[in-house]
Amino acid sequence: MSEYTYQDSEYKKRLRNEVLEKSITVAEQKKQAVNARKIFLNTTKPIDERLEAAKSMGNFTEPADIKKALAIFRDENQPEIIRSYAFSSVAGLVLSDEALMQDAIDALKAGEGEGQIALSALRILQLAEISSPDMMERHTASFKDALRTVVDHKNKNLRSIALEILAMEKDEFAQRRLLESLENKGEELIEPEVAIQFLAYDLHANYYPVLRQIAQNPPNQIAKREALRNLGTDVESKDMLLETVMNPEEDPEMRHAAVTALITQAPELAVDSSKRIIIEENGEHLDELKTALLNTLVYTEKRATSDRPENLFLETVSAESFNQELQRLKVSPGSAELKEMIDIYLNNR
Amino acid sequence: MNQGIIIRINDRAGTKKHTDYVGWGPRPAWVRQISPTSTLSVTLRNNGLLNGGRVTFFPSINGRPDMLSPSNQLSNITLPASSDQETNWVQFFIAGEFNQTTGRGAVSSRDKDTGVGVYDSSTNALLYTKSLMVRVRKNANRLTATERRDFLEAIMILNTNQGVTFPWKNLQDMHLPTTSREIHGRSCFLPWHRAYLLNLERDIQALEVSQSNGTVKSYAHVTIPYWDFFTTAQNMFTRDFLGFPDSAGVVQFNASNPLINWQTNLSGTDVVILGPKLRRAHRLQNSSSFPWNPSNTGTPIFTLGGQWSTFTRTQNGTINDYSDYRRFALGVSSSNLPGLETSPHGGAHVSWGGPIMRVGWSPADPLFFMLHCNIDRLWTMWQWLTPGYRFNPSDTNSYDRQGFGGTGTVPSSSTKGNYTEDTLWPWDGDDQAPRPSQANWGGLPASPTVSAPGPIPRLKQMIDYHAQYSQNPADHLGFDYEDIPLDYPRRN
Ligand SMILES: [Cu+2]
Repeated sequence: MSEYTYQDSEYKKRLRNEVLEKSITVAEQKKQAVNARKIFLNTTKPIDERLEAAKSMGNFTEPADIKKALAIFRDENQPEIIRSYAFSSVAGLVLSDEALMQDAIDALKAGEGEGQIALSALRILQLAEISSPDMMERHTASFKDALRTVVDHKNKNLRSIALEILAMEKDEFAQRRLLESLENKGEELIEPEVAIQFLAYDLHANYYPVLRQIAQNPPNQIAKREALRNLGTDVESKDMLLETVMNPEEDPEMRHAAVTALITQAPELAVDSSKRIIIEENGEHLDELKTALLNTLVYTEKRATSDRPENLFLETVSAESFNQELQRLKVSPGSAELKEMIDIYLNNR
Repeated sequence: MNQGIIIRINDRAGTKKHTDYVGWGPRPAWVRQISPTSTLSVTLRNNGLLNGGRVTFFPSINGRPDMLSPSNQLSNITLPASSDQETNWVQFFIAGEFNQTTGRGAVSSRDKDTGVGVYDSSTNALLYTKSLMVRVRKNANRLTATERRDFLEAIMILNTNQGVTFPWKNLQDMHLPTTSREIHGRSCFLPWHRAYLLNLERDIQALEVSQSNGTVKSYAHVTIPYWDFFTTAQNMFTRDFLGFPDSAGVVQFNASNPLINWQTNLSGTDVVILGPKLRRAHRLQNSSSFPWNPSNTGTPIFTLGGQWSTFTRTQNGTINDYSDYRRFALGVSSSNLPGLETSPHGGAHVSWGGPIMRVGWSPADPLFFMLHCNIDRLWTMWQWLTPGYRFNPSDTNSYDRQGFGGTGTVPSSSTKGNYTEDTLWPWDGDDQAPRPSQANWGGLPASPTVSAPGPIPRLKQMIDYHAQYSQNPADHLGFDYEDIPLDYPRRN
């Protein structure tokens, strides 16, 4: 290294100059931020002025400012939104200060007012999970407890994040509440199509009855699709899934969701049904579904049909005739996307 | 007319497949006559496809590239008359051509669109062309349709249970709540994730799929694209690429997108349900009124203060706030100052709903690796742009924890895995405390183009990734970013 020397390239100089230009703006912003902080921290100023200042104050790094901001965060006489901004502005401290981390958890659990402070606290706790995993681990129990508390908060955003984190953790309380919400017992915690996704982080057999009910009598199409998708392991749903797949009147999106679910418990049946739809059903409105079915066959057919004795494979469409039909479909009228997918499928045989 | 000339790149013996790839660091290459009758004087210069990649040549001095003499051609090379295959090779070095004035590299957009032409020095007749690729990691927002398609196919194959192997699931199992402390919240965060990205990229590049016409489709030309979340990524979050969530946060894809089959194999869940089963809600955790959508705005990577909508950490802030590794990576949380791991990294994760928002679940979303590719690129950018460079593994400004880490019951900043001389879990197979209790996924996959870092990487090997400091091609890890060059030195 020592026998060499480096000279900054034009490219590097340009990048450095851009930085320099930006640092002038940054210096300007920093000056503004100092002023903004003074205004925000001044509890005698009008709320509107302080809220406006909050937009440009940045994060507090001066010990004196941090102290004042923490005092405002803890002052119940200050407006909720002001307290929430005050906390956000010192939130980085939570990553290394155990007492403040407990404060954040307490603020989440308290869920005061509209839930603004709790949301600020939750955001920083999520960051702490990533970059302070050791400290967060020591607070796992109280964090979960706080999340369980805000599951019933009137702030839907807060509820939703809390429910999702708990569902990922396979928390039985959250799972029970999500299930009850789906079953229309009591108040709806979250939309059914979202509740299904949260429950699917850890699918249990006792969810099947309500999922079947939603699939057959859906509150909306997205909920139906998500219910179908997650019935793949429910043996009792096999016939219903197959009917959905083979029903020409059904929404193509539902038919594809049902096929992917069916692959889980009856791969041969799913493969065979997909092939039949592709070659037996007609109409350009089915091009998108056929493209999706072929796409799924590319990644699942070999797996579905390998390691199984030939005679157990209920094949109503032979590979040979299917490939021939695809060749025919390729030269018939139809979408470019479908034709491209036919090529991909045939290339992968 | 074939004059009986052959060139090999990265592998003189010619026993490996998929060796003809270069980035910005010089790679060894060899040229010889096959059945010579006399010596032959030749000149090497670019002879690739129009708009393809281009290379820069370096003469060889004692088996190393002469870094003081980069050139667009190598003139008057004498190829020996001997037919002895052990001795008649002439070595030289090549690297992708990077214009240090414009800041643009001559990268390939297709496999093998670059060529090294061998010309007769006296007649200037073209004798032979060796095809290769200038292969670097690119901005995901600017990929061609084919580049997208190849990347999506590759990750979809890796996320399909292949019976004995299930590569994507293995990657997910390395990045769980139970392994988080080994790989986050301490200095090794960046080097560890650099190795992790390399693991995926080498898995992709090793893929081969036989086609019905008897050919084999290789993915050796594919790299992990990066999600530059500081700018608008309108071409990324579309139905034909990474998908676009519906009102319930379920990601929607075009019917022909391989990701319609995506499955999320979450830890401890045996039930595998095929996709598209990917949740990725456009949502900031603190505001239901702000419909953030990365298709029409940069990601609001909040700092730790103020309102995220006003105070976002910029790329410039990330790169230029600190000149030492410790503060660059981890910040100073006791002073409320964020490092790269918290902002933008953590901010980018928790801007969403879905698996991407939490450590132990995030690799279930392919976006994870593109997010981390940009985090790695920002580290690289900092290493390159900080005056004096930050590539010397034994400089505490390049990496703060020098030497060997200690023992303990759980990972901490003082235990092994966090120090330059330590081997990296899980590739080292160490499943004893303080390490996580599983480490049986094997070593880091080998690359046919480079030998570093070997199956058991040491942390320090991740730092000088394209040998800017050591100038030794043996240290190259075999990846590069399209916008971050290798600087060539001058004589002191
Ligand atoms: Cu990680």
